[in-house]
Amino acid sequence: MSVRLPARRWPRSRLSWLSSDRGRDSLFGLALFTPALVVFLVFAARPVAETIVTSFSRKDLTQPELGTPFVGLGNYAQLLSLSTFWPTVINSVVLAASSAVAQIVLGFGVALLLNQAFRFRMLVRASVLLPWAMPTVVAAFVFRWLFDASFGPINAILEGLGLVSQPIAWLGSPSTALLTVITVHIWKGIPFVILVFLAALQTLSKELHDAAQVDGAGYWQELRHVTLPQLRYIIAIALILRFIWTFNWFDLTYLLTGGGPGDSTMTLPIQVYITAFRTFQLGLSSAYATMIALVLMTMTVTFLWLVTREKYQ
Amino acid sequence: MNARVGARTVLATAIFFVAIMPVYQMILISFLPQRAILGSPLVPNLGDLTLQNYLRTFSNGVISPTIYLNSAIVGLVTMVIGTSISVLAGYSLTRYHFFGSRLADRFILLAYVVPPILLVVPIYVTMVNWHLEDTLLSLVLSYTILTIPFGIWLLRGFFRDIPIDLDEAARVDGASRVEVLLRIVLPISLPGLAAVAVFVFMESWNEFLFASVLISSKANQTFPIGLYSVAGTYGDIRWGETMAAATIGAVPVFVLFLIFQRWLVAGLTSGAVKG
Repeated sequence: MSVRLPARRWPRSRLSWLSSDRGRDSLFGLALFTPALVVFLVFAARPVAETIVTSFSRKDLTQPELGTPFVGLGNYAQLLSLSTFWPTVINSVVLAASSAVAQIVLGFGVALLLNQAFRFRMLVRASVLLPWAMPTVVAAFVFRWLFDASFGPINAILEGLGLVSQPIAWLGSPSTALLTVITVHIWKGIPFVILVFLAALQTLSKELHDAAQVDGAGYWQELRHVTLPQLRYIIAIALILRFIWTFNWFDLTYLLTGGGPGDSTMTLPIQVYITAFRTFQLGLSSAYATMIALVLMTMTVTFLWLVTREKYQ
Repeated sequence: MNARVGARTVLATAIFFVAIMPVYQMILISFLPQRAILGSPLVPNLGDLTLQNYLRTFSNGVISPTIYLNSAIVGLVTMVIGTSISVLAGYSLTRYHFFGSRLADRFILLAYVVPPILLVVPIYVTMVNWHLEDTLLSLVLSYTILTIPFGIWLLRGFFRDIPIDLDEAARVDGASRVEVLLRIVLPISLPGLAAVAVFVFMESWNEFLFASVLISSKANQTFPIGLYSVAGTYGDIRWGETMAAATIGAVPVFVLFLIFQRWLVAGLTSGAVKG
């Protein structure tokens, strides 16, 4: 919506080289957007383009004498033939999907609770938001401590309660590592979801809820037929955002396990990092990265299409 | 009704303890000597509490206080640049039409389908070409691109809530387009600005991937890299010293967050939810 005013009220603007007020609005708008656009072009669009180009060539920093010959889809073919490729994709999807779903379900519950009155509500609210403020590297080390096989308090608690007979190497054994990593992701990412839902609950239509109560709806009925339908769109957005962020998030998993033990918590971003900065196969790592972006984009667009289709039906 | 309130309190207490446990353990371990730590304490013996981890972390030269300073510099500079760019772009998208503006408005968040790991190699190469490798400026530039899509998205929703009549009335009264933004729109958007500023600062303070790739010298390490290297310096992690260094890095962000959390909620309410 542009601010449109009769040009004659603005004599000094006639000096402008673009005579219509509308044109100057557009120019002004574009000028305001320019810094973002420049940053985007230089630090996002160009890197993306470079990565895509590199993904079609052999670029190996350990063999610079070979140059960067064009190899077509060679890197992609090599990638798909790696025995680690599909397990890594599956790990990433499982990690992102289960974290996102758990965050939405638990986050919604916590937000509902925090939306009601009880003693120390502000204290509880501050505490559940705290994980978001905790630096990732700190969270990783604290959870490595909590889940430590020999001295970790979690094993101590479980043993004290008699739930386990011997300490579990939570992050150190392939059977429990991914589950443990997911748990930490849920803890770290849930505040964002709670914040969004708390904010969304403020915007609910009071009339609808009054009407439901007049009609004698119980708490669960009201939740299911009045609250949830109003929040459908925001739930979908929160879900897709958490999925994307978790899927693309290198730091937390890398700092917790480095992708191990074995490859049991290997994710696509960690694989890209290792391929680029440990084995220096830039062509292959670029193909990896491009693939992630493609997969994510397809999933996101499909999901958004499904959601918006329902919204406008 | 009383039973329901009671159940609510019990549930809230349980949630409180789960949420707070890692923070509590971090602070607790940072004040305990090694022998007490190995007993995986939940409640400390008050006589054990000591400052030796804090003293030792810095005195043995493994961790340098400059990591906190570097992180603060990067965080504050990125906060100013990132918030400014987000304000200008977000305001532009809600008030003006130009080529591509509608597209940008609708798909801004899709920027996040691009994984940061995809950007890190070409950005590293760019920084080397510009002779900016191993500088704090390279981090500021990287974090700006990582944070502005969300910043623009949030503020865009915020500005859209402000009636356009307000802008028009100010224009009629003789204010320029710039004055409308600076004098009318920004003052009522402070919660949104604060939300974005805190978001940008925290993301910059916490970021590990770009810092690990772009920074090579100890003098330019930021807090996440410094902490990572202190814990990795020893064969086994020295929990006490690691937690002391971690606590020093985490507390400032906690304080900042607790001060601004009200505004964050307000910012998200108008920015994200109604958008």
